[in-house]
Amino acid sequence: MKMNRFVSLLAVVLLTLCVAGAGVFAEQVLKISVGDLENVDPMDLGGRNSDVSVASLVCDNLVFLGKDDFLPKPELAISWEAVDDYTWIFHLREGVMFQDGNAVFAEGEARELTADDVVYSIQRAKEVAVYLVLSEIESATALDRYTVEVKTSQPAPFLLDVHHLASVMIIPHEAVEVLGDDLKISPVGSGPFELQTFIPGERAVLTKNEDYWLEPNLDEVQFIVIPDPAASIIALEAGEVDIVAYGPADEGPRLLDAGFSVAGRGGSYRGVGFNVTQPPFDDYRVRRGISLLLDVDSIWPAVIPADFGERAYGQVPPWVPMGYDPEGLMDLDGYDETAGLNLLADAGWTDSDGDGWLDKDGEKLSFEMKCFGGAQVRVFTIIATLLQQVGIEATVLQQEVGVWVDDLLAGNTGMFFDFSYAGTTGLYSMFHSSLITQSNTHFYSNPTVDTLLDEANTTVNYEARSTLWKAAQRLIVKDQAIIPLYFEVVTTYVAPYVKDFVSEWGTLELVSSENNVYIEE
Amino acid sequence: MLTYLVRRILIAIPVLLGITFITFALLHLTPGDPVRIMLATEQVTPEVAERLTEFYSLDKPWYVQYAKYLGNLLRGNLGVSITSRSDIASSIAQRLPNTILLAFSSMLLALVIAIPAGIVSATHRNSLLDYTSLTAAMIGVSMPSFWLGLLLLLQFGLAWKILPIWGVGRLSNGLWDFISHLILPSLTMGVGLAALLTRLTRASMLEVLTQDYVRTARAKGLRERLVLYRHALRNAMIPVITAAGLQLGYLLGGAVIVESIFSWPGLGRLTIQAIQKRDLPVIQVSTLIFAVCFVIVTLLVDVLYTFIDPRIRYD
Amino acid sequence: MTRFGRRRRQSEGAGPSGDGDAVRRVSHRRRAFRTFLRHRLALLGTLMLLSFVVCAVFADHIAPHDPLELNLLSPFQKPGSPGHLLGTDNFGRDILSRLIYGSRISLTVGLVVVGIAAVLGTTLGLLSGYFGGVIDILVMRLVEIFAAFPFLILAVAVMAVLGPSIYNVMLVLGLVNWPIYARLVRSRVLTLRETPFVEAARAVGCSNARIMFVHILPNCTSSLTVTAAMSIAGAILATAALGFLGLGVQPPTPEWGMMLNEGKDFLRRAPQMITYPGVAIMLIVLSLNFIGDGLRDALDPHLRG
Repeated sequence: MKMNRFVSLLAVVLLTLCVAGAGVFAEQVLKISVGDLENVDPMDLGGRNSDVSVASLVCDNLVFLGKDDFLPKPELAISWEAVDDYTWIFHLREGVMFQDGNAVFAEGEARELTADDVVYSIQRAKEVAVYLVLSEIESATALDRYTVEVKTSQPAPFLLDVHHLASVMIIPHEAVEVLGDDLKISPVGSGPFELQTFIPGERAVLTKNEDYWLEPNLDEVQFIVIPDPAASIIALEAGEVDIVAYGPADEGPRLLDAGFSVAGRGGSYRGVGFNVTQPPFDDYRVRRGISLLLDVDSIWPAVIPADFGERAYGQVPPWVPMGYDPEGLMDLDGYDETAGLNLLADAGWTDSDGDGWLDKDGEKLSFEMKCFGGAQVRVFTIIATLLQQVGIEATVLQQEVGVWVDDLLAGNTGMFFDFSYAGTTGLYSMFHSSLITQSNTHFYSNPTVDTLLDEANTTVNYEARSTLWKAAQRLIVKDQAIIPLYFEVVTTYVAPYVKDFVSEWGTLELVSSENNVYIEE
Repeated sequence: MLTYLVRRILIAIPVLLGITFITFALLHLTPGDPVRIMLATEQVTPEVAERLTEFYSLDKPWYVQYAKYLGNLLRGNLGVSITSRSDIASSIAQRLPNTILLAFSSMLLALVIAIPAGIVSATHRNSLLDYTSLTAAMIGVSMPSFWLGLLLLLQFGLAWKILPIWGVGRLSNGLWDFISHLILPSLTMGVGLAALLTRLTRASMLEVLTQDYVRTARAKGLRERLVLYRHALRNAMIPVITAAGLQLGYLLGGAVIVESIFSWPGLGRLTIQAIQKRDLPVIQVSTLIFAVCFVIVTLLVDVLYTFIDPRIRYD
Repeated sequence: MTRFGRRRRQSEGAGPSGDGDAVRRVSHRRRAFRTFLRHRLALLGTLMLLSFVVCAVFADHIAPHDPLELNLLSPFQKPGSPGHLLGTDNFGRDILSRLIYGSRISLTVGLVVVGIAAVLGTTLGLLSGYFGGVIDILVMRLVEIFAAFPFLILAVAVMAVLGPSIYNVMLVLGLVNWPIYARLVRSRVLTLRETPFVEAARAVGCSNARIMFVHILPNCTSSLTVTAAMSIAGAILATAALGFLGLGVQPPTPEWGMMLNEGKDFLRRAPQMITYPGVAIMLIVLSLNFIGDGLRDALDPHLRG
């Protein structure tokens, strides 16, 4: 009798332990929906966000960019200093091991990550990476096992920024030698997750790296390709995926109401761009006049839900604190229909024949506003309608992407939809005169601005650099080379049971000194 | 028959060459080049743009580029994508079976619905059944596929949760995995096809049913079903398989919208994106494959004619 | 009363000369017209089509609102809201008015594209099937080239070189659509070519052209009319696909295909933006199908009587 009861009790205890154990050891699997997966060679990521995300889980970088301030935080480099304007020293973390149990390092055969690997990776990135700005780096040398010295050809204040050294992923040379082309589908690094499966266009599956120097909460991360935005939201609502990366902004309000959260960092600047050398936009008064005719505050909320954007007064977005300057630029804005029409009249554009359209020398003020697809069309539709109401014959021309680019770079486009994702390189690449016919599609050339930007590029001191940038930006906006409209924040939707998720900025950090993502049961 | 087949295959070669050549020429006439597009959408930095242009010979005259392309093709080198640097041969090898699977299953579904429905409509002309099938066909052909696809997803994927929302199923994961992923995309594509084929079957059957030889068969006292299926149907099928063959050819080029909505990794999306990005190597290979599939299907349909209607000859 | 019987009766008392032919032709036409009118559905279809045409022509008088008028403060009004029978879109524009004005472009595109494709395709199909040989080989290779060629590249190239106007859209779509008519007609011709009545016509001394257009073509009416009616929907939907990529109708022009595109992003939030253009397309296809049925009954020699 007693024996039986004892056995039953034991059985119950064991059973409970098993159940509890199952609860504790339940698989933490995070599923992220992305638009595409193509090639995850850590140096050949070409600005493809999803590929960057996958590769950044497999590899570590010297630093990662902080979740609140976007400033560099230690990752592989535990500390660093700028010894002089041209030299940087990085001190590496000790005991970091590359992943093992793969084609490069057999189980248990992995080796430690050292300064040589950092040097190798930087050199390979300089050769292969098309998207990163590394020309400023002149040399990288391993001073000892855990110290790297980087010399730059000129003072490089942006060295540790998102498209520069901070985006260089550290890989072992063996990975390149052993894998060859397979590096694009099965890279190996020292990161928190190991890539198990990568099928371009379909999915990627990564599992926890047990030997990582931090302890990830997640056991598995899956990236699932769902190209259609509406379908990805359906998957999210059905619980088939937990996160939708770069989801459609239009669904935002509805999803927020349903309990999902938005975790976007960064985004893009959007505005109207002028080719300042093309008539009628070569006349400042025309550009300024048009700007005064537009009530931007009522335009942009009609294009994207107001929660996911912010009024822009300049080109530098809120996530680049260095040049973000709404207070300093607000006075340059203005909505005043009378003043606008007066300026246009000054420039010679009046309704001389009473037909309702402004004209000059017998020609109507008529132009095409060129864009390609998506929200751009919405913005321009509104603007065109508003301008037509005051007598300017503005029409929207939606072009195919390639044709749009061609027209723009050839200088055939007068007024176009302006956008920029770049963080700190935006102002330079869009307005420096040396980049006309490349990325300076405004054909804008202002020697003062050039000087300011050149100087900022070599000023290491943050405050001083910031002042120079803001000054350059103010001149550009004052010249009305652009009409800033809004900043659109990335809408990455996150299910309520996913905790501690930080959206990517340069790299995707699912476990770092600042966060460790987990799924709440 | 054999000489006919051989002749067709030989003729196909200049056709395929012609298609690749025209594709190449048109793309070069069209403004926009891949590196400049990447530059404008911020996927490369200005310093790198020049390097890439040189690497891919984008600045050389078009005939030089075409020669290079042909040379590589003959050596079996399909090239590398300009925008993603991924290997084209493996991309295609991975996606082609998916496209073929979807194309055939959609066509099968469409035929399974259309032929019986068309026959019933024809034999019960102007009845309620006929009008119902007409209405269904109208709706099927007028509905944009993205609308139908999303509605199906919303109902079966979200509301009822009985079918998967994305991806291809694998037989290795079980039969249900394979079939369940195939149902909604095939349905979305098949509906429009079924609409056209139903109406064609009906029209064709109506025509054939009033022919002399059918009347003869009836007069001979043969059972109605025999009359229908042995005599009438075979001849009625000619226009139907013509249309079906042509549509199958198009489907083999990949159905962009359906692939996008159901995350079906096929050739359609690959091709469209390549065209927008002016990714020449990918466009070339993809176009060639589509053309080959199309030529094969056309040939098969022509051969099928001779089996269905022995009167048809090609000399 | 067989087909042969009727034909013989009609040619009784007339020789292969002018007079008899004239009598025969008038009877054909009047008979065809009367059959058409008797077909109730065909009449319904014609009425429906006519009302669309009326909408297109008199849009200015029929539409309750300006189709381009933005009303940014009240977007997404539900159907049945005051002043907006079918609701408003994301810019607050009245959907009913946009549908009415949109009929102009969509109707034109649909009918012109199908018209071009059908005429071109049918002619080539007739020639190809009837004469066979080298002509058949050449025409079918043309079919293969046009059909196997990725339509999008053609569209982009044409638009880029000639400009993104609605006429170029019609051109491109017409060029892409003719193969199906050619293949269909050819397949019918291959069958009919060997039939006794064609041989008889040849024996009587009819010219090739006469055989093709008077004897063979009416037997293709069924397949042709069905395909043409269905293709209208395809043409309108294709303008949507082209519009997606920036080729074709420019915003804010109201056009059913573009309305579908714009509505796609708001499928869950404002389904009226997609539903009503879809219904409009459906009604056009329906009306043309009915008309096609009537035409076939009137023209197809098999189905008379």
